[in-house]
This record gives sequence, C-alpha cells and structure tokens, in this order.
Amino acid sequence: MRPSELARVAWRNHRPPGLTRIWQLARVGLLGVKLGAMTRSQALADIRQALARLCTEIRLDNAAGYLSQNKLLENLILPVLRVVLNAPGLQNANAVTINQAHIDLVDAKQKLAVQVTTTREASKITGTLKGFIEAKKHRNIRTLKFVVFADPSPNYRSATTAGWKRICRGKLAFLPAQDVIDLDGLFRLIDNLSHAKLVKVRNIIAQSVVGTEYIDVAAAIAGQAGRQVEDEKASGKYIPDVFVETSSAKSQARLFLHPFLFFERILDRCDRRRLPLLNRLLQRCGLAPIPMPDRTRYGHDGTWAALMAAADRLATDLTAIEMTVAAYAAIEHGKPPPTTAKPEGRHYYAENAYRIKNWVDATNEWIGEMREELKILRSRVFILTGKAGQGKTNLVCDLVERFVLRHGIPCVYFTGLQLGRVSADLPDHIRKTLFKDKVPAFEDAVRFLGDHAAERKQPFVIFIEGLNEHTRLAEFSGQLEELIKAAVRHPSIRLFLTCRSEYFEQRFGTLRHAPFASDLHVLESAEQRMGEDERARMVTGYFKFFGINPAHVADHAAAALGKDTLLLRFFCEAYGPLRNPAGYQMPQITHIYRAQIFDFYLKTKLRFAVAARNRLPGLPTVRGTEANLFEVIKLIVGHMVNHRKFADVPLSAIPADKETDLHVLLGEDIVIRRDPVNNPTHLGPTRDVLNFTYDEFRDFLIARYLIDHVYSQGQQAFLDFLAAGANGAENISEGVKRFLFYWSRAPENAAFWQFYSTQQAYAESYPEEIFSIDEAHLDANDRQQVRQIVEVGDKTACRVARRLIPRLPSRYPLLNLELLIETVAARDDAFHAILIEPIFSPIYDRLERQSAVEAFCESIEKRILPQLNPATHQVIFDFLPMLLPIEPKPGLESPGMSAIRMFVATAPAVCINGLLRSLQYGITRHRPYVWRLLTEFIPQLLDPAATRTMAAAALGTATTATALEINRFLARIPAP
Amino acid sequence: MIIATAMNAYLLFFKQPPSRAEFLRRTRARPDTYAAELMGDLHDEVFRNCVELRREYQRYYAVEYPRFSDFTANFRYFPEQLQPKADAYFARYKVIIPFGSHGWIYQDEEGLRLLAKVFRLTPKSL
Repeated sequence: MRPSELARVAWRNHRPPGLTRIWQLARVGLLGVKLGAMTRSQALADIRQALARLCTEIRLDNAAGYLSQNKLLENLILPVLRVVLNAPGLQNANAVTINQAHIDLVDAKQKLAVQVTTTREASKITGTLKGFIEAKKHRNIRTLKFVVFADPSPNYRSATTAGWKRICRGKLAFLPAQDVIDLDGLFRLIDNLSHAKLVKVRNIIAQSVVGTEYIDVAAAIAGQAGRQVEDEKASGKYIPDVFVETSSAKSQARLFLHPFLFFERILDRCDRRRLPLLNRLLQRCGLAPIPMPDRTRYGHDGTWAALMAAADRLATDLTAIEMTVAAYAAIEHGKPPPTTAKPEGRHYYAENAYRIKNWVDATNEWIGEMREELKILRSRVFILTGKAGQGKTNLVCDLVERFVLRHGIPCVYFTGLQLGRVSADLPDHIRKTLFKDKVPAFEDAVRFLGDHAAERKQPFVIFIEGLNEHTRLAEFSGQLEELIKAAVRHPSIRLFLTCRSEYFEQRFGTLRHAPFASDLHVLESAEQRMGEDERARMVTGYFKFFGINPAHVADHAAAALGKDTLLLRFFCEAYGPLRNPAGYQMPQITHIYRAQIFDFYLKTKLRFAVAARNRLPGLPTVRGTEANLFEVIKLIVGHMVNHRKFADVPLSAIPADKETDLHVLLGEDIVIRRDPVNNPTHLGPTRDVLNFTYDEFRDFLIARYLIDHVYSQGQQAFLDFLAAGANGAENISEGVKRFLFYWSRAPENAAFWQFYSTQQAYAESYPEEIFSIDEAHLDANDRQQVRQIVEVGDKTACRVARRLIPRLPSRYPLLNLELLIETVAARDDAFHAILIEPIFSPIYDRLERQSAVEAFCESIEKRILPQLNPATHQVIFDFLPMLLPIEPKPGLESPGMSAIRMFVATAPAVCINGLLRSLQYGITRHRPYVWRLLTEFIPQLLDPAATRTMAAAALGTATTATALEINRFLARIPAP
Repeated sequence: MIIATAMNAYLLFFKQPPSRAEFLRRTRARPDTYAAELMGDLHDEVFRNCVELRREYQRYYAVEYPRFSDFTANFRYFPEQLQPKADAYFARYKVIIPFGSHGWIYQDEEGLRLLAKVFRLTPKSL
C-alpha cells in the first residue's frame, strides 16, 4: 500500500471533524510531521512489511515446520490482538485450562475467544464452530473470532457463511464479516488504531520473531557454552568420563537447572512416600492421621510464577505434615499414648508404639530432604565451593555438556580467568558478548534472555566457573553482586557459580548478606569418599580420556593410582598418548615412580602453558618459552627456600617483567595458584599471595632446587637447611626428604648421592622410599640393606616386609617376596611371630571382621590363579605355609589351611611343592599344619616315596605336635 | 525375572505387571483378612513405593543418558555383572523395579522363591 492509499484509509476511518482534521493528520504523520520518534506512515509501513514477512514465514512453516504456531501465538499474535481487539486480558487458552479444544486465545472477562489458523479452507471454521457449539462453550463465550493467516486472503462463498450462521443460530452471535479476520482485515483494524496504539503494535511486531528489531537470543547464545566446554577439554581442565557421582552435587544441580522437569520428580517422591501405611497404623492406635500431600494441588501452567506457587503449596503441606508428626515425637514404647488417643486403640498402641516412633523419625528425615529440594528449586544462584583439585571444573563441564546442552537449556559459560582479562564490567561484558550493540543496556539483555527462557519453560543459566581465578577479585566481587541483583529481577534467569572455599568466604562472603541472600544456595562439595568400585571407575575414566591402554598398567599400579587422584592425574599427563607426540609408545607400567611422574608432569604442563600463552590475544608480543615459565617457578621456590617459609609467597617476589609469565602459570592453575590472605589487623585490605596448588608438588620442586642451587653452592648451606628441618623449623622436611632421596638415586646425581647417602635424612627415608625407586637403579647393596632392616624385626621391619610381599621376583629381581622368605626362613618361630603375624592382623570392614589371610588368599585367587605360571608364581606358594599358624582355631585349623586346600584343588603341583619346601625353613611352628595338609593330599603327591622318607627323617627332630602329624602321615601313606 | 543382587535387595523384571486385584487373586488371600492386607501392602510397596527404573529413566534421564545402561551405571542401580545386559533388559521388560525387601521377607533362597512365586517371576542368579 502506497502512502497515498494509507492516507485515504486513514481519512476514511478517522474522519476527524472540522479544524481538528489538520491536527489529526499531522498527529498521525500523514503530513510528514514527525511526532515523537515514529510517524504513522513509518509505523504502518513497518507493520505492512512485517505482516508480509509473516505470510512468508507461515508458508515456510507449513512446508517445513520451523516456526511453531505456538511461538507465533505467544510472541506476536497474542500481544497484537490484545491491542487490536482491545482485550488486554486475552491469553493463551492452554495457559488457562489444559487442552482447550477449538480456541487458542481467550479473554474470560470479556467472554471473547479467538481461533488462530493458517489454513484458508472454510472447513476449518465450520468444524471449529460445530465443535464449539457441541462443547457448549457458547455458555461462557459471547464472541468467537477467527484470525486467518493465509496468503492470499480467503474469500468464502455466501453459502458457506450462511452455513456458519445456521450452526450458531440462537447460541452464538457469529458475524463472518467481522469475526473472520484475514490479513487485510487485521491490517485495517491496525490502521484504525490511535497513534499510541499503532506505535505499540508496530513495536510489538518489530520486536517479534518477524520484526526488524527482533533479537534472536537463540542465535546469540548458540554454541557459546559448547565452545567453552571444548576449550576446557583442550586445556585439560575438563576430563570427560572421569566425573564420578559420589555426592548429591549433580542431583541438586539438575533440580536447579531444570526446575520444571525435576519438580515432577519431587512430586513422584511424594507419591512414593509410605504415608498411607503410617496413617493406617495411627488409625489403629486411635491416633489422628497425618495430612496427605494431594498431588492435584501442585499443578501449574508452565509459567515461573505458577511453578513457584505450586512449590509453595507443597511446602505448606509439608509444614502441616511436620506439625502433626511433631505431636507424635514423644511416643516411646512402654509409655502411655498421647492424651488425644482414642481408648479403643490402646492395645494396638501398646504393641506398636515403637513402629510409630520409627515412622516419625523417617518422616521427619523425608520432610527435611523435601524442604531442601524445594529450596534448591526456588534458588536463583547456585554456588558450588570446594578445595582445589576436588573436581569443580569437571562437574560444571559435565553438567553443561551432558545435561544443560542436551536439554536445550539456554545458557552461557564464562570462567573467572576469562572475565579477569577484560576491562569492561561484568554485566556489560556479558551483554556485549551476546548481543554486541544490538541491545543497549544489560537490563534489556536480561529481559531478552529471560523471555527467551520463559518461552521454553526453562531457566536461562549464566555459568561462571572459578570465581577465584579472576585477576581483580575486589572489583569482581562488586560486579558479581550487581550482576546477581539485576539477574534475580527476572524470574527465569539463574546463575551457577563455582569458587574455591577459602576464596568464597574471604572475597565473596558479602553475597551471603546481600538483599538476594535468600536466593542463594551454597553447596560445599564433600570430600570424595569413594569405594573400590568408584575408584576403579575413576581410573578407567582417566585412562580412557588420556588414551592409556589399561593392559599397559599393572593392576597394583592402577590400584595405587586410584587412591591418589593427584598422582593419577599426573601419571596420565606424563604417560598418556594424549599429551605425547605422535608415534609415542607407552611403556609397560609395573610400578609407580613418583619423582619420574612429577618430573614429566612439570615438563608437560610448562609446554602447555607456553602454548596457552601464545594463544592469548592482547598480551605482550614477546612469546613465552618453557624456560621463561620455569624461571618464575624457580623464583617462587627460591623465595620459599631463602625465607624458610613454604607458603604464601608475596606477589612482589616476582619482578614486573615476569608478570605475564606468572599470569600464564596462574591460568594453568594446576602448578601454582593465587591465594587471598587476610590483613592481620582485619582493618586493611586483604592481599594475594602465591602458593603451589599441591603441597607434594611443591616439595618435589624444593628438593630439585636444593640440589641444583643450594648443594651446588656448598654442602654447608644444604646441611643447614636439613638441620633446620630436623629441628622442626619447617613442616615440610618429610616431603622434601622424600624427593631428595629420589633425586639422589638417579644415576645422573651420583656425586650428590655420595654425599647425601651418608646423611641421617637419607637413612630415615630409606625404608619407605627405596620401594619407589626404579629397580634398574638398585643394586645388591640395596638387597643387603633391606634384609638388614627386616632382620631387626621392629615396626619398620614390618612395614618393609609388607612392601616386599606383593613384589614377585620376575618383576622385581632385587627387592621381592623371595628376599622376605629367605630372611624369615633363616630365623626362628619368635621372629615369625613378631614379623609376619602383625602384618596379617585381622581387617575390620564396615560390617564384618575379615581375616587378613583370607583377604590375601582371595587376592591371589583373583589375580594369580587365572594366569598361574609355576616358574614365576612358585614363590607365592612358598610363602603361603608361613601363614598357616596365623589366627589358629582348635583342631589345627586356620584361614591359611582353608586357603591352601582351595589352591590345591586348582594347582596341586605348585601348592604341594610349596608345602614340601617349607619343611626346610628354620621356623617350625607351621610344620604340624603342613604335615596335616600333606596327609590330606597323599593321593596328589608326585613322589610319595620321597615324601615318606622325608617324613621319617623329620620325625627325629620334630616337636610333639609335629611328630603326631608326621606319624599320622606315615600311617596313611601306602608302604613302598 | 527376579534376581537377588545383594543382601535384602532384588531386581524385579516384569513384562506385564499384575494389577493389585490380580495379584491378590494369585496369592489366594481371602478378602478382608490379614493375609490380604499383607499381600496388598507388598504389592503397593513394589509398584507404588519403589522407583520404577524404566519410567524414571524415560521421564528424567533419557536426554542426559542416551542409553539405559549409562543411566543404570551412573546411578549404580545394577550390579556390575548385570550391567552389560541392561539395555537388553530395557528392551525386553516393561517394568524394572529395584526392591529392598528389608522388613518384608528374609533374604535367603526361600525368600527369593516366595517372591518369584507371588509375582510369577523366574528366579535367576547373578
């Protein structure tokens, strides 16, 4: 429609009287006079264009189903019709009553209903009218209108419209000319609106999905979170599949992130509660029943307000249950019933009071859990805090990747480190990142994001991971508070934040006292308490991610890694093909050498830090090298050693020209971290200091530093440092000594070893740490030294013996089980009692006492028997007879006896060989057991005659008990 | 199918779960007797108070875990030995219920036999 046509239409419809006509025309802009920001002709032109685009969209929609009718209804048609039909109460009929047939929009107050259709066929209107009348909806609705979005506009025959009138006769005043509105008719209605309303419609259309000012939120946020997760994967901070759900953190997060879905799960839990059984019990006891939650009360229409109202109703009902239950809290078996009890139930009560007590406790616990879940559902900000290395990043990435993105929950994901690199304030950065300059203010951005999410019946979630990684924490905490204040104004915006515990309290603690404090849910992640199964899953997950073939890692090595998450991570970084060049062949790992792993890990991390630094835009042009980064680490360690203070290195220890390298290392987080330290007076500001992320890694670096920079300068300085440690001046001496020991045993440090092996510190470390040295670096002197340690027979000897038991000679040629057998076999029964018995003291499991010998034998059964090789495994069966006298029971029975009987059934030759050889040991207390077993195994003996001879020879020197058993043997074995 | 998975813990697999009335008829408990009440409670415990894994998975976790076995592995509903068969069970059975029998029945062969009989399930070992 040309402007002249528009003017004619306006003239015809407005018909302003007298002189006011000129003013009116000027007002509506037809005389080219601008009133405010928008002229009438501009507004109509915009609307015309948008409606034309709408027709195209509808055609495409019908063809491909991209633009849902529901979206058009909610986003465009409903707000336009509210203005055009002057029905501000018009709303989506499905929001009022579920499954409203025949009508899409309804205004109950005006008794107006609207059916929106995109088909031109008259049959659609005919069918709707018939259904409408049959359903007797005309009793509540006076006017039914049809809005037909079809291009070209339909032109119904008079016979058709007459038929519609017949359907509605006497029931509904239906005038097809007025009540069937096509696009032309809609435009005419819009054209007839006042200027203010016209501009309002124009704005609605312009900002709708077909308008020129439409902000496509979905497109703005598309892929941002996914890309961030990929970045976290690339940096190695997020390791998929290693997250093991041991706590309720993820369950709580699910509820927070998808409250519409998981509120239903809360209701399911309500349904499953055994309250009817409790009520039957109470009734029989003559007591008043507790109120039952009524699921029909917790329905909602899919809006945030309705969901929260439903949650409130459930909370109210829980309170009612709680109050009733509280009246029964004092019930105890043997005491009289509450005064409210009916007398006819007294006998039943007397027998069942204890059951009521149990039910009351269980019900209170259930109510507590439900309340907690409802609180999380209502929260607007979820803050997960925890110590370094507890897996917060893994949890967030796992949530985003597997839950949020798969559910299509709109979200954005930032890290504190990223936000620290931008100068803009936090809300403005988020606005610009998502919308650039299309949206002028953060409040508008929040509105767009919130509306977008509300339409999807999901929250819009802003993830900020690692608040503590921000480089300007004081400034950031204020910005975060402002962000939360702005976000909580919109019901569908939620924030999911993570922070290290100590930072949260010190730097973000004010959030707990902010006006929105009641909207916070702070979850302190529990320390991981994993069972064997969970540990194995975690190790499997790490191996899978780093491409480690489990067959290349010995079972006992994998088990050791499962007990130490840090070492596991370092190990995977060091040995996994993922972090190594193409063509890398992973060696067979039979033992875990801590120092090697740490050393390799450091090199890997520095290599990655260099790569990360080179990726950063806007940083100084001088590119980092591993040497630069290592120089920073050296400065920090040097500061620690020189000041004899092994924590909280001030930032001033790093010169200004190395700040960039420092920030790169801080970004990696796994090597060093920045910590806040309170001002001692509590009056001044807090200051930041540097620490190593893991203390053990720090000890490793200090040990290296001591050799390279202290010992090399002179032995005395080195000895002074050790002496100070020995006097308790430092609390890290144990860790440092351990790594000094490792380093001293490396062949390239032979000169240092010559000096250090004469020191007391070396001798102290030896019994524990010698087993962490690569066998290739050991010699016969070590075997002799270990034998001497064992021969002492004290607690240290027991610890060393314990380390020798799982080491088979085939894998460990020097320090192994054979050495232990030789040492014990050469001694007497007293030595056996003080060395071997304590090692196999009973194990106390959570539920039952388990024999340590049984546990040991179970382990052999699982790990050795399936791959039994007499040549390599005979030593185990040589050791088993030493276990026979442990935990003896009457009648020469013991756990060892049962175990050997079991093994003989599977591997008779190797087992009987072990028994026969054990008769040569210097110890004697196992011999009666051995002869008892040999008597049982006579049919399996390979050489009965030789055994008979041996028995006869042993008879002369045997103790009474042994002699008895030998005589039994001789009596049973067939004569030659 | 019914499998004893741990102390006082069973997994019940139904192709067609019995209604309450049908279940009571099967147990031959006469109406309005203590036996009928006890058997009715047992039915309610299994079919109303326990989590039904198929439904739980399909309603809340199917988007997050593409396969039923991922879901059971993550929540450790199935013992390790049964885990490889989880998807096959999902395809074969309409209703899968982990049932904690504590307070209902003794955990022994007789208990397993009794549960299998009243629910008409085939007992299987792990």
